[in-house]
Amino acid sequence: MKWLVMAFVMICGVVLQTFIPAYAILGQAKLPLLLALVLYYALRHDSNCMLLAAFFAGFLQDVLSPIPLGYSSFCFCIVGLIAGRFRNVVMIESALPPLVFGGAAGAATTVAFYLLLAKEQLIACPLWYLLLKIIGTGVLGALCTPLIFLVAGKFDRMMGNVTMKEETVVLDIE
Amino acid sequence: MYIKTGSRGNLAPFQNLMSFFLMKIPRTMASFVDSGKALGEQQKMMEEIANLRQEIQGMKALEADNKDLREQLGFRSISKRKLVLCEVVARGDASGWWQTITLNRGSEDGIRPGMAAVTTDGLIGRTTETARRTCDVLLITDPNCKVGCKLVRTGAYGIVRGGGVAAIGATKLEMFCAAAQPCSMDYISKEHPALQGDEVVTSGLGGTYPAGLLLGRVEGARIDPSKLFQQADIVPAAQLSSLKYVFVAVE
Repeated sequence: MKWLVMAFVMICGVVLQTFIPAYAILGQAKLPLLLALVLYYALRHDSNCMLLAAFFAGFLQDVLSPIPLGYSSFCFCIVGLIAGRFRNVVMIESALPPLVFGGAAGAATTVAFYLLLAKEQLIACPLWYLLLKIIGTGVLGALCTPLIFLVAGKFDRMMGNVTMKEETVVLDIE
Repeated sequence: MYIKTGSRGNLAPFQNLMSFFLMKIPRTMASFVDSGKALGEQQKMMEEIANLRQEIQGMKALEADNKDLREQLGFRSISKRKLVLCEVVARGDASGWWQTITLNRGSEDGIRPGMAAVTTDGLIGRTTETARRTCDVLLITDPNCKVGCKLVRTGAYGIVRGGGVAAIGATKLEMFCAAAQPCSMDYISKEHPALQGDEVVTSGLGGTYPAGLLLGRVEGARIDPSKLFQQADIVPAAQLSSLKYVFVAVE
């Protein structure tokens, strides 16, 4: 059931990410819903689950964009692995960690994508536009990640993948 | 590549579903209110208008050129090509790095990467990635899109490059609506001064775009920093911010 839920939220995420318009004031940055989902699986689930989520999210993003296959999966896996190291440190129910992680991960992935795509001469954009995009993705990531944590968490609990009891036990151990 | 193309095809139903909710329902409601006009008839008429307009543009370009020379070189005018009517199902790619639109027709309808996409007003871009039932179009306003063009009045050649999105010096409304900056036409000969209002059409050189497609009009011109050529700002003829139907010129 866990994998089915993951596939469902990922497909919903990529379709919404494609359809939600981007604004010039934020450097045409897209709402990073897939990245937020990767962070959710990195901080709320085990490493195997996180890696699968990162790979699948990256695959979907590459499929629905001109990015060569594998670039997004690579970036998302790195983000997931870094975020996963903080799994036992952050407070599970607080909105602050997702906000901070979402903002930082959004900005970092934009830089990583720029370096990868510019190296292959697939994109050309001035520095001011890149800075605007980094800020834009950071802001949008900080805004949408807590929301994704809330929605995906509730959905996971509803489907029986994560129980409140399990979360409490984790907190007690810490 | 096959994995990507196949997966895109499988994701098409989800995109179409979203497109259905966002576009079809309000349109269906409108059709109930305005029962006099059937949607199918409207689409057919649009297709006919597009074909006629393309034919007129092709004729304008032909007047300016040497007809015999063009025939020898084997250029084909757009009117000889088949136009496939497509509906826009999504704006922008999932990553936000490119200015693209997604259409609801793909390789099943003969669309392949590198084909010209036009509206009744003029050229809007070229197809990039295609799946069975969808394809992406890179818009002419994207800085990565370059089109070989010429000025109809003088016959001077140049390369039109997308100007990107207005973010600095734009109005608040433009910034929120992601209004595109004018395209830039580079490498225009200084011997043929470009004037405001001059029509810019595709030159056909390079092979990607057929000759004679209207791209836009000159907004202003100046000598470029190298002082060897002219540089002109081009305003696209097509309304790129409100695209609903697009035609792809298939061979």
